[in-house]
Amino acid sequence: MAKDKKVLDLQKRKERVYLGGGTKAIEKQKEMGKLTARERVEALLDEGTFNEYDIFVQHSATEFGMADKELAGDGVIIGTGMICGNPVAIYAQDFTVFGGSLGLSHARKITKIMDYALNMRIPLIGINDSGGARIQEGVNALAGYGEIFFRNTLASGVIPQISVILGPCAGGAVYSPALTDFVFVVDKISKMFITGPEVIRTVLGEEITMEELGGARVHCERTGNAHFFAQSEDECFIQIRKLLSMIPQNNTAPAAQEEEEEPNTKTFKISSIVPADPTQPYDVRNVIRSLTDDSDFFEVQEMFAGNIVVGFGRIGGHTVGFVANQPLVMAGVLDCDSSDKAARFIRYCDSFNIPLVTLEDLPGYLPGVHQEHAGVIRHGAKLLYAYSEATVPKITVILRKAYGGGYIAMCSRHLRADFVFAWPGAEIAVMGPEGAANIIFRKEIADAEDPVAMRQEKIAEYKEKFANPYVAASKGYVDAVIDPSETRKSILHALNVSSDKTVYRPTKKHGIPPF
Amino acid sequence: MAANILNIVKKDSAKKSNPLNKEVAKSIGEVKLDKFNTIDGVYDTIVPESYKARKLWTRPDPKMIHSFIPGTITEVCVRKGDKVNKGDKLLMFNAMKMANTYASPVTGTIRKVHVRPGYIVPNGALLLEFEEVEIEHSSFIEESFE
Repeated sequence: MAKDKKVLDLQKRKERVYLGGGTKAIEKQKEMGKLTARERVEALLDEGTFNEYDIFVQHSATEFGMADKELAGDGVIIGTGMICGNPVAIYAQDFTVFGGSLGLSHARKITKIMDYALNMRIPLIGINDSGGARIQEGVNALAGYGEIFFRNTLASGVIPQISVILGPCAGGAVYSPALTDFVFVVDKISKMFITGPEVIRTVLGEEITMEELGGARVHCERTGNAHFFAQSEDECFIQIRKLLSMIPQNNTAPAAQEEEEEPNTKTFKISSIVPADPTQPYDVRNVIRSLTDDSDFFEVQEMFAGNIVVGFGRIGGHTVGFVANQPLVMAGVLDCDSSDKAARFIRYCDSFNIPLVTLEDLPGYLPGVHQEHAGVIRHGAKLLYAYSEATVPKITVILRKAYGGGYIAMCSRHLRADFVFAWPGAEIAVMGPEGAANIIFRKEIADAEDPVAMRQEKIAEYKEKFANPYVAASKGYVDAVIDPSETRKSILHALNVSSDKTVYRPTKKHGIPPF
Repeated sequence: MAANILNIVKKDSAKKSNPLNKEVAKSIGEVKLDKFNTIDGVYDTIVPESYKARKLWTRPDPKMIHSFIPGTITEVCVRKGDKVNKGDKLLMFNAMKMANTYASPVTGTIRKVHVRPGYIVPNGALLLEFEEVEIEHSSFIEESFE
């Protein structure tokens, strides 16, 4: 009898915590179009797999009337569960409890589950929905953030860290997502900024709404802080599950091997996607889909720096990371943003042993004062650094143009690509025929009776002699010139022969990438 | 004098406009393509609005004094017609929770004052104009290409 009473008491205590900030606060949360923290966790994880910890944790603040305030779970839920049968650690901030504000106990719950994830080598998912630091707790709140950031850095490159922004995430709080691998946002719900519209208005007189300042769209299109955009929370959870199905659980485990499937070659016919004229555009994602199993390509940062495409796909059941110039956007040039985007993705793949497939077709780096003053030198250098540093199998396919600095940067032999394939229409040269003709034959062109005609003649001459894959192939910089229809077969073979790739690099604490 | 090669390129590329391959057009769907100029030719491609809207660089005018940080003007120390030496105090302003002094970067005569105490100015706002200034050796390298 006595035991039953105690179980009943436990039940009651749990129910009180499950109510979060109370029915009124929950109603308000719903009005904003948001799920509650517990609903989110349940929706994301495999059904019935969530195990929650620390539900009775309380804060110990006494100042500013905090002593008699009881906050359910101190405003955050932590636990473990399964996604597609694989374990994950998760925390979700509960906005209904004191605005999801972060105090010391709240932070300690988060760091507890982070330590757990790191020790168990399982992915960590953080659902952010918080008004920021709990001001009443003073420097303790700051200490809490700092402890989280430190662990984000410690876990970086060991376990996948996923941040889901499902509400405000402001001030110092934004730095945890910024330190993690992938940030998911939902239209009209996610808001991220260092200083909010109110402060900006009073201090600077700039009028801006939260959505315009740090909404989901802004971070996907403009800042590049977010990686995945969804219309609804449910869509967001599907994206997270999809991502986790493609990547390994930690940096020593391989990604799940799937059954090999053929691409849909009817819709994505590789030989007819790329126009022969190098100034004409095409969507390089169609080339990727013509190569991947079931023509499935999971793009990362789809809306940011569209001139480069990065994402995951499978070839012969193996997960590979694709990096591809996108001739459809700004002719596929490299610039500050696209270099940043690609470099980060390459480092992710390298950390988690995901082979890299690079599809190259670019006229080079973007010229202009705008780019030079924005630091295209150091941003562009990130790409060289990331490719050179990566020790995973690196396969490069030159589809069409590979000019100048762009040729070197896009995982050339010289940055230690393991396999470099070129299509017969590839133009590998120190610069494009037009630019090269302008310099080499400057005098002939300028002195000609009809300079325009002479220039065209010289461009044709240069093209004939140098703008092809055979000069590079004759030096061994290109391993094989292949028929486009053989591309998938060549990549698959390359992946198979390099599955135990081992390279030796000088021992060092760490390098100094051009951050 | 031989013709400038860049002018030849300009003349040449202006008339060039290859029609889009039909199959390509179908595969990329309804998108707006623009002409995109590079040294290696003219490309048909999507040019994002953010790129089109970028501010083109112009050489800064040493007579125009702009704010270099957003803040609130607390004191204006000069008036129209004042002769100012390089390093003299022009104005005081609060920015990032600090009281700051704006010292004159040039020697010259004030032509116009655009701000008053209490004004909240964003970064890059025009604060003062000089009539004429003594320009020391410019740090900008004169461009001598072509």
